[in-house]
Amino acid sequence: MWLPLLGLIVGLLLGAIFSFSIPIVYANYLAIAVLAGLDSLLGGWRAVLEKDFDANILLSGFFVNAILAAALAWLGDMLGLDLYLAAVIAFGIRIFKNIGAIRHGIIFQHRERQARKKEQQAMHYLSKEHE
Amino acid sequence: MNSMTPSKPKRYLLWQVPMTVVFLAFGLLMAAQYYTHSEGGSLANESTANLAMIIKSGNDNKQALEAELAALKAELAESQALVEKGESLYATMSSRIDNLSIAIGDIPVEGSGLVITVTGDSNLMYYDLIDITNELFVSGAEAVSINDIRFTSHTQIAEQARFNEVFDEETQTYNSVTHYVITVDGEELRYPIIIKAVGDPQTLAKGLEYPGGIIDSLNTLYSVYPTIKPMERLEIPAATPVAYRHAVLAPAAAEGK
Repeated sequence: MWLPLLGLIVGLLLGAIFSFSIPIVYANYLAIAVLAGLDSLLGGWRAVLEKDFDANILLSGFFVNAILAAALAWLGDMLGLDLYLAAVIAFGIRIFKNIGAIRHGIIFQHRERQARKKEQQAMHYLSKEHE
Repeated sequence: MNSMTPSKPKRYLLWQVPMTVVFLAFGLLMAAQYYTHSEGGSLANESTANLAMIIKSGNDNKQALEAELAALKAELAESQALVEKGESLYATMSSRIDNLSIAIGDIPVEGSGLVITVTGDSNLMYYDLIDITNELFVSGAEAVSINDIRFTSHTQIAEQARFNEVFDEETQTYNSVTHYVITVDGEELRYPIIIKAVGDPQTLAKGLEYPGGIIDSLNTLYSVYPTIKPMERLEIPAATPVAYRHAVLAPAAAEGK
Protein backbone atom coordinates (compact mmCIF):
# COMPACT_ATOMS: atom_id res chain seq x y z
CA MET A 1 0.00 0.00 0.00
CA TRP A 2 3.02 2.26 0.33
CA LEU A 3 3.59 2.70 -3.36
CA PRO A 4 0.12 4.13 -4.13
CA LEU A 5 0.41 6.48 -1.13
CA LEU A 6 3.76 7.63 -2.47
CA GLY A 7 2.05 8.18 -5.82
CA LEU A 8 -0.58 10.35 -4.14
CA ILE A 9 2.07 12.42 -2.38
CA VAL A 10 4.10 12.80 -5.59
CA GLY A 11 0.96 13.84 -7.46
CA LEU A 12 0.08 16.46 -4.83
CA LEU A 13 3.67 17.73 -4.80
CA LEU A 14 3.80 17.96 -8.59
CA GLY A 15 0.52 19.85 -8.57
CA ALA A 16 1.85 22.18 -5.85
CA ILE A 17 5.16 22.76 -7.66
CA PHE A 18 3.57 23.55 -11.01
CA SER A 19 0.50 25.03 -9.30
CA PHE A 20 -1.48 24.68 -12.48
CA SER A 21 -5.07 25.79 -12.38
CA ILE A 22 -7.93 25.88 -14.85
CA PRO A 23 -10.31 28.76 -15.66
CA ILE A 24 -12.73 29.27 -12.81
CA VAL A 25 -15.76 28.59 -15.03
CA TYR A 26 -14.58 24.98 -15.35
CA ALA A 27 -13.94 24.58 -11.61
CA ASN A 28 -17.24 22.74 -11.12
CA TYR A 29 -16.37 20.20 -13.83
CA LEU A 30 -12.99 19.59 -12.25
CA ALA A 31 -14.66 19.07 -8.87
CA ILE A 32 -16.93 16.42 -10.38
CA ALA A 33 -13.91 14.81 -12.04
CA VAL A 34 -12.16 14.69 -8.66
CA LEU A 35 -15.21 13.01 -7.16
CA ALA A 36 -15.31 10.45 -9.98
CA GLY A 37 -11.58 9.83 -9.54
CA LEU A 38 -12.03 9.28 -5.82
CA ASP A 39 -14.81 6.81 -6.52
CA SER A 40 -12.68 4.83 -8.99
CA LEU A 41 -9.74 4.89 -6.63
CA LEU A 42 -11.73 3.53 -3.70
CA GLY A 43 -13.33 0.98 -6.05
CA GLY A 44 -9.84 -0.18 -7.02
CA TRP A 45 -8.78 -0.53 -3.41
CA ARG A 46 -11.91 -2.50 -2.65
CA ALA A 47 -11.19 -4.80 -5.57
CA VAL A 48 -7.67 -5.38 -4.25
CA LEU A 49 -9.06 -6.38 -0.88
CA GLU A 50 -11.69 -8.60 -2.45
CA LYS A 51 -9.03 -10.12 -4.74
CA ASP A 52 -11.04 -9.06 -7.74
CA PHE A 53 -8.58 -6.42 -9.02
CA ASP A 54 -8.35 -5.65 -12.72
CA ALA A 55 -5.92 -2.97 -13.79
CA ASN A 56 -7.81 -2.22 -17.01
CA ILE A 57 -11.06 -1.69 -15.21
CA LEU A 58 -9.38 0.61 -12.69
CA LEU A 59 -7.51 2.75 -15.21
CA SER A 60 -10.37 3.00 -17.69
CA GLY A 61 -12.83 3.61 -14.86
CA PHE A 62 -10.71 6.36 -13.39
CA PHE A 63 -10.19 8.38 -16.54
CA VAL A 64 -13.44 7.63 -18.37
CA ASN A 65 -15.59 8.24 -15.29
CA ALA A 66 -13.81 11.50 -14.55
CA ILE A 67 -14.27 12.73 -18.13
CA LEU A 68 -17.87 11.54 -18.36
CA ALA A 69 -18.78 13.11 -15.03
CA ALA A 70 -17.31 16.44 -16.12
CA ALA A 71 -19.12 16.11 -19.45
CA LEU A 72 -22.37 15.40 -17.62
CA ALA A 73 -21.93 18.53 -15.51
CA TRP A 74 -21.20 20.54 -18.67
CA LEU A 75 -24.30 19.12 -20.37
CA GLY A 76 -26.31 20.08 -17.32
CA ASP A 77 -25.03 23.62 -17.60
CA MET A 78 -25.93 23.69 -21.29
CA LEU A 79 -29.46 22.48 -20.54
CA GLY A 80 -29.85 24.71 -17.52
CA LEU A 81 -30.24 21.65 -15.28
CA ASP A 82 -28.19 20.93 -12.19
CA LEU A 83 -27.14 17.56 -13.63
CA TYR A 84 -23.90 17.63 -11.69
CA LEU A 85 -26.01 17.01 -8.59
CA ALA A 86 -26.91 13.60 -10.06
CA ALA A 87 -23.21 12.82 -10.40
CA VAL A 88 -22.50 14.08 -6.89
CA ILE A 89 -25.23 11.89 -5.41
CA ALA A 90 -24.32 8.81 -7.45
CA PHE A 91 -20.60 9.10 -6.71
CA GLY A 92 -21.30 10.00 -3.10
CA ILE A 93 -23.32 6.83 -2.56
CA ARG A 94 -20.72 4.71 -4.33
CA ILE A 95 -17.88 6.25 -2.36
CA PHE A 96 -19.59 5.43 0.93
CA LYS A 97 -20.35 1.88 -0.26
CA ASN A 98 -16.72 1.42 -1.29
CA ILE A 99 -15.47 2.79 2.01
CA GLY A 100 -17.74 0.35 3.82
CA ALA A 101 -16.50 -2.55 1.70
CA ILE A 102 -12.87 -1.52 2.27
CA ARG A 103 -13.48 -1.47 6.00
CA HIS A 104 -15.01 -4.96 5.84
CA GLY A 105 -12.17 -6.16 3.64
CA ILE A 106 -9.51 -4.88 6.02
CA ILE A 107 -11.21 -6.44 9.03
CA PHE A 108 -11.68 -9.80 7.30
CA GLN A 109 -8.10 -9.75 6.09
CA HIS A 110 -6.90 -9.12 9.60
CA ARG A 111 -9.03 -11.95 10.99
CA GLU A 112 -7.83 -14.34 8.32
CA ARG A 113 -4.23 -13.55 9.21
CA GLN A 114 -4.87 -14.14 12.87
CA ALA A 115 -6.57 -17.46 12.13
CA ARG A 116 -3.71 -18.56 9.86
CA LYS A 117 -1.17 -17.62 12.51
CA LYS A 118 -2.96 -19.72 15.10
CA GLU A 119 -3.21 -22.65 12.71
CA GLN A 120 0.49 -22.48 12.01
CA GLN A 121 1.27 -22.36 15.68
CA ALA A 122 -0.95 -25.40 16.27
CA MET A 123 0.72 -27.31 13.42
CA HIS A 124 4.12 -26.44 14.81
CA TYR A 125 3.11 -27.66 18.26
CA LEU A 126 1.65 -30.90 16.89
CA SER A 127 4.72 -31.67 14.82
CA LYS A 128 6.97 -31.16 17.86
CA GLU A 129 4.81 -33.42 19.98
CA HIS A 130 4.89 -36.03 17.27
CA GLU A 131 8.64 -36.10 17.39
CA MET B 1 8.96 -26.48 -16.77
CA ASN B 2 9.86 -24.78 -19.97
CA SER B 3 12.30 -21.98 -19.35
CA MET B 4 10.71 -19.98 -22.25
CA THR B 5 7.41 -19.64 -20.41
CA PRO B 6 7.12 -15.95 -19.42
CA SER B 7 7.70 -15.57 -15.73
CA LYS B 8 4.67 -14.55 -13.76
CA PRO B 9 4.81 -10.86 -12.89
CA LYS B 10 5.47 -10.16 -9.27
CA ARG B 11 2.25 -10.15 -7.29
CA TYR B 12 2.49 -6.65 -5.95
CA LEU B 13 3.02 -5.14 -9.39
CA LEU B 14 -0.35 -6.49 -10.47
CA TRP B 15 -2.29 -3.97 -8.46
CA GLN B 16 0.21 -1.56 -6.94
CA VAL B 17 1.43 -0.02 -10.17
CA PRO B 18 -2.00 0.86 -11.60
CA MET B 19 -3.11 2.04 -8.17
CA THR B 20 -0.04 4.26 -7.94
CA VAL B 21 -0.79 5.72 -11.34
CA VAL B 22 -4.38 6.41 -10.33
CA PHE B 23 -3.33 7.91 -6.98
CA LEU B 24 -0.80 10.14 -8.72
CA ALA B 25 -3.40 11.38 -11.19
CA PHE B 26 -5.81 11.90 -8.32
CA GLY B 27 -3.20 13.95 -6.42
CA LEU B 28 -2.68 16.10 -9.50
CA LEU B 29 -6.43 16.63 -9.86
CA MET B 30 -6.73 17.59 -6.19
CA ALA B 31 -3.88 20.07 -6.46
CA ALA B 32 -5.36 21.59 -9.64
CA GLN B 33 -8.74 21.89 -7.95
CA TYR B 34 -7.15 23.52 -4.90
CA TYR B 35 -5.25 26.11 -6.95
CA THR B 36 -8.24 26.79 -9.17
CA HIS B 37 -10.32 27.61 -6.13
CA SER B 38 -7.67 29.61 -4.34
CA GLU B 39 -7.10 31.73 -7.45
CA GLY B 40 -10.70 32.01 -8.53
CA GLY B 41 -11.72 34.82 -6.24
CA SER B 42 -14.35 34.71 -3.60
CA LEU B 43 -17.52 35.11 -5.66
CA ALA B 44 -16.86 32.21 -8.02
CA ASN B 45 -16.90 29.74 -5.13
CA GLU B 46 -20.13 31.03 -3.66
CA SER B 47 -23.33 29.06 -3.97
CA THR B 48 -26.29 30.49 -5.87
CA ALA B 49 -28.10 31.17 -2.61
CA ASN B 50 -25.12 33.06 -1.22
CA LEU B 51 -24.74 35.00 -4.46
CA ALA B 52 -28.42 35.95 -4.27
CA MET B 53 -27.86 37.11 -0.69
CA ILE B 54 -24.80 39.11 -1.75
CA ILE B 55 -26.75 40.74 -4.59
CA LYS B 56 -29.65 41.49 -2.27
CA SER B 57 -27.43 43.06 0.37
CA GLY B 58 -25.60 44.96 -2.37
CA ASN B 59 -28.92 46.26 -3.65
CA ASP B 60 -29.96 47.23 -0.14
CA ASN B 61 -26.67 49.06 0.33
CA LYS B 62 -27.12 50.77 -3.02
CA GLN B 63 -30.61 51.90 -2.08
CA ALA B 64 -29.42 53.17 1.29
CA LEU B 65 -26.57 55.04 -0.37
CA GLU B 66 -28.92 56.48 -2.99
CA ALA B 67 -31.22 57.71 -0.24
CA GLU B 68 -28.23 59.21 1.54
CA LEU B 69 -27.11 60.83 -1.70
CA ALA B 70 -30.55 62.34 -2.23
CA ALA B 71 -30.59 63.62 1.34
CA LEU B 72 -27.12 65.11 0.93
CA LYS B 73 -28.11 66.71 -2.38
CA ALA B 74 -31.15 68.27 -0.71
CA GLU B 75 -28.90 69.50 2.09
CA LEU B 76 -26.50 70.93 -0.48
CA ALA B 77 -29.33 72.73 -2.28
CA GLU B 78 -30.54 74.06 1.05
CA SER B 79 -27.04 75.24 1.94
CA GLN B 80 -26.63 76.85 -1.46
CA ALA B 81 -29.95 78.64 -1.02
CA LEU B 82 -28.77 79.81 2.40
CA VAL B 83 -25.47 80.97 0.91
CA GLU B 84 -27.32 82.90 -1.79
CA LYS B 85 -29.61 84.36 0.83
CA GLY B 86 -26.56 85.20 2.92
CA GLU B 87 -24.90 86.83 -0.07
CA SER B 88 -27.95 88.96 -0.79
CA LEU B 89 -28.23 89.74 2.92
CA TYR B 90 -24.57 90.69 2.93
CA ALA B 91 -25.10 92.96 -0.09
CA THR B 92 -28.11 94.60 1.56
CA MET B 93 -26.29 95.02 4.85
CA SER B 94 -23.20 96.32 3.17
CA SER B 95 -25.12 98.94 1.16
CA ARG B 96 -27.02 99.89 4.32
CA ILE B 97 -23.77 100.26 6.23
CA ASP B 98 -22.43 102.47 3.41
CA ASN B 99 -25.54 104.67 3.54
CA LEU B 100 -25.32 104.95 7.30
CA SER B 101 -21.63 105.70 7.13
CA ILE B 102 -22.30 108.51 4.67
CA ALA B 103 -25.10 109.79 6.89
CA ILE B 104 -22.95 109.91 10.02
CA GLY B 105 -19.95 111.10 8.04
CA ASP B 106 -17.92 108.06 8.90
CA ILE B 107 -16.35 107.71 5.46
CA PRO B 108 -15.12 110.18 2.85
CA VAL B 109 -17.49 110.76 -0.07
CA GLU B 110 -17.23 112.23 -3.51
CA GLY B 111 -19.63 113.30 -6.19
CA SER B 112 -21.05 116.25 -8.05
CA GLY B 113 -22.08 119.28 -6.06
CA LEU B 114 -21.43 122.88 -5.22
CA VAL B 115 -18.54 124.83 -3.79
CA ILE B 116 -19.56 128.02 -1.99
CA THR B 117 -16.76 130.39 -1.19
CA VAL B 118 -17.05 133.27 1.26
CA THR B 119 -14.12 135.64 1.21
CA GLY B 120 -12.60 137.35 4.20
CA ASP B 121 -13.87 140.83 3.47
CA SER B 122 -17.48 139.84 4.07
CA ASN B 123 -19.34 140.21 7.30
CA LEU B 124 -20.39 136.61 7.71
CA MET B 125 -21.88 135.55 11.02
CA TYR B 126 -21.96 132.03 12.40
CA TYR B 127 -25.76 131.78 12.06
CA ASP B 128 -25.41 132.69 8.37
CA LEU B 129 -23.30 129.60 8.07
CA ILE B 130 -25.96 127.56 9.88
CA ASP B 131 -28.57 129.00 7.50
CA ILE B 132 -26.47 128.12 4.46
CA THR B 133 -25.94 124.51 5.62
CA ASN B 134 -29.62 124.18 6.51
CA GLU B 135 -30.58 125.44 3.10
CA LEU B 136 -28.15 123.02 1.48
CA PHE B 137 -29.66 120.04 3.33
CA VAL B 138 -33.15 121.28 2.49
CA SER B 139 -32.10 121.36 -1.18
CA GLY B 140 -30.99 117.76 -1.06
CA ALA B 141 -27.32 117.93 -0.12
CA GLU B 142 -26.09 114.50 0.88
CA ALA B 143 -22.82 115.54 2.49
CA VAL B 144 -21.48 118.91 3.48
CA SER B 145 -18.12 120.14 4.69
CA ILE B 146 -16.97 123.52 5.87
CA ASN B 147 -13.27 124.12 5.32
CA ASP B 148 -12.90 120.37 4.96
CA ILE B 149 -14.54 119.69 8.29
CA ARG B 150 -17.32 117.21 7.67
CA PHE B 151 -20.69 118.50 8.73
CA THR B 152 -22.50 115.81 10.73
CA SER B 153 -25.33 115.53 13.22
CA HIS B 154 -22.79 116.33 15.93
CA THR B 155 -21.29 119.38 14.26
CA GLN B 156 -21.46 122.55 16.27
CA ILE B 157 -21.20 125.92 14.54
CA ALA B 158 -20.51 128.64 17.05
CA GLU B 159 -18.82 131.94 17.64
CA GLN B 160 -15.93 132.63 19.93
CA ALA B 161 -14.57 135.88 21.19
CA ARG B 162 -10.88 136.60 20.62
CA PHE B 163 -9.08 139.23 22.66
CA ASN B 164 -6.15 140.99 21.15
CA GLU B 165 -3.88 143.48 22.86
CA VAL B 166 -3.39 146.46 20.55
CA PHE B 167 -0.77 149.09 21.33
CA ASP B 168 -2.16 152.60 21.19
CA GLU B 169 0.63 154.97 20.24
CA GLU B 170 -1.24 158.03 21.36
CA THR B 171 -1.81 156.91 24.90
CA GLN B 172 1.19 154.61 24.91
CA THR B 173 -0.97 151.85 26.34
CA TYR B 174 -2.21 148.44 25.29
CA ASN B 175 -5.88 148.28 24.58
CA SER B 176 -7.88 145.08 24.55
CA VAL B 177 -9.73 144.59 21.26
CA THR B 178 -12.40 141.95 20.98
CA HIS B 179 -13.35 140.28 17.75
CA TYR B 180 -15.42 137.25 17.03
CA VAL B 181 -14.49 134.17 15.05
CA ILE B 182 -16.70 131.40 13.72
CA THR B 183 -15.80 127.93 14.93
CA VAL B 184 -16.83 124.60 13.56
CA ASP B 185 -16.44 121.78 16.07
CA GLY B 186 -14.32 124.16 18.12
CA GLU B 187 -11.95 124.93 15.26
CA GLU B 188 -11.64 128.47 14.12
CA LEU B 189 -12.56 129.03 10.49
CA ARG B 190 -10.01 130.83 8.40
CA TYR B 191 -11.02 132.77 5.35
CA PRO B 192 -11.87 132.04 2.65
CA ILE B 193 -14.58 129.80 4.04
CA ILE B 194 -15.21 127.02 1.55
CA ILE B 195 -18.42 125.09 1.88
CA LYS B 196 -18.65 121.94 -0.18
CA ALA B 197 -21.91 120.12 -0.70
CA VAL B 198 -22.47 116.87 -2.57
CA GLY B 199 -25.78 116.73 -4.35
CA ASP B 200 -27.39 117.76 -7.59
CA PRO B 201 -25.54 121.04 -8.41
CA GLN B 202 -28.52 122.68 -10.11
CA THR B 203 -31.00 121.88 -7.34
CA LEU B 204 -28.55 122.99 -4.69
CA ALA B 205 -27.83 126.27 -6.51
CA LYS B 206 -31.54 126.96 -6.99
CA GLY B 207 -32.18 126.28 -3.30
CA LEU B 208 -29.65 128.94 -2.39
CA GLU B 209 -30.18 131.51 -5.08
CA TYR B 210 -33.94 131.92 -5.43
CA PRO B 211 -35.16 135.47 -4.84
CA GLY B 212 -35.66 136.04 -1.15
CA GLY B 213 -33.48 133.02 -0.44
CA ILE B 214 -30.42 132.83 1.73
CA ILE B 215 -27.94 134.24 -0.82
CA ASP B 216 -30.34 137.00 -1.79
CA SER B 217 -30.82 138.09 1.80
CA LEU B 218 -27.06 137.80 2.53
CA ASN B 219 -26.38 140.02 -0.47
CA THR B 220 -28.98 142.63 0.26
CA LEU B 221 -29.06 142.71 4.04
CA TYR B 222 -25.50 141.93 5.08
CA SER B 223 -23.44 142.60 1.97
CA VAL B 224 -22.09 139.12 2.01
CA TYR B 225 -21.42 137.85 -1.47
CA PRO B 226 -20.67 134.20 -1.52
CA THR B 227 -19.63 132.73 -4.86
CA ILE B 228 -21.28 129.53 -5.97
CA LYS B 229 -19.54 127.16 -8.30
CA PRO B 230 -21.07 123.91 -9.52
CA MET B 231 -18.58 121.03 -9.61
CA GLU B 232 -18.59 117.78 -11.56
CA ARG B 233 -16.68 116.10 -8.84
CA LEU B 234 -15.65 117.08 -5.37
CA GLU B 235 -14.43 115.24 -2.32
CA ILE B 236 -15.63 115.54 1.23
CA PRO B 237 -13.48 114.02 3.99
CA ALA B 238 -14.66 111.78 6.83
CA ALA B 239 -15.59 113.17 10.20
CA THR B 240 -13.93 112.19 13.42
CA PRO B 241 -15.97 109.21 14.65
CA VAL B 242 -18.11 109.69 17.71
CA ALA B 243 -17.49 107.34 20.62
CA TYR B 244 -20.80 106.24 22.04
CA ARG B 245 -20.36 105.62 25.75
CA HIS B 246 -23.87 106.05 27.11
CA ALA B 247 -26.19 105.44 24.22
CA VAL B 248 -27.10 101.78 23.70
CA LEU B 249 -29.83 100.29 21.57
CA ALA B 250 -33.27 100.51 23.17
CA PRO B 251 -34.73 97.00 23.77
CA ALA B 252 -37.48 97.52 21.21
CA ALA B 253 -34.94 98.57 18.58
CA ALA B 254 -32.72 95.63 19.46
CA GLU B 255 -35.67 93.25 18.99
CA GLY B 256 -36.58 94.81 15.69
CA LYS B 257 -33.04 94.25 14.43
